[in-house]
Amino acid sequence: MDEFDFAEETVVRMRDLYGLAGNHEVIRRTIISRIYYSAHHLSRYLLRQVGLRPDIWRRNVHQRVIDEIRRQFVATNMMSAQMIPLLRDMRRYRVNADYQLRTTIDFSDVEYMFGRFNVYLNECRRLLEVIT
Amino acid sequence: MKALERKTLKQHIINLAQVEFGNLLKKVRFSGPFEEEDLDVDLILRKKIPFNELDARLLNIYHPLEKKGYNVLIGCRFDELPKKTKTKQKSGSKSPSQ
Repeated sequence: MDEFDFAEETVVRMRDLYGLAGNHEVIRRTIISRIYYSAHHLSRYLLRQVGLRPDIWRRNVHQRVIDEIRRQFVATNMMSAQMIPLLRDMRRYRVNADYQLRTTIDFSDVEYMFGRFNVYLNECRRLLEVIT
Repeated sequence: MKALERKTLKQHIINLAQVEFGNLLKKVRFSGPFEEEDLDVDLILRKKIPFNELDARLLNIYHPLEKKGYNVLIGCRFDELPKKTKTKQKSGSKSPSQ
């Protein structure tokens, strides 16, 4: 299974989990984290398609992945510039879900993340038709 | 980051957010850093707006910050439900809309 398949499969399973146990905040935090990582894996997959090796990066990997997405695809007008704040927004939600336990994570946060992921997934699919 | 620089950065972010979001902006909440970023920011907006509009405005906040060399992580949250403090929720008391 490559990163793209993994990301799609993860989000399908997270939707299932949300339906089964989304009323628990711990589950909502977990789902938000996994949705973010799915988007992160989509990014890594795209970068591999142009010859980069995110798997050997060791420092500031999340920021570097976003920076490389911008350098490789946004700066070359292959991807919408709006994907950069989108990815950062998703990352901020993940950081919030993982570290900030005093902030309530509610249903709308999870649904927002599913919506954000779908926008990014569609942009990645469109891009893949161009670069592969 | 020194305290004074951090204070200046926060005010700069507040100013940029006010320009971009105007009356839509209810509050700017700072936290972190939790990972390698300089600062974490939540923009609390009074209502949801379409993603493309939201991201276009966020880009206008990010650009001047990046020019100054800051690595800030900005997220948007919406004041449609109260979420300031953590409250215990009984299991099964509410189901996610599916």
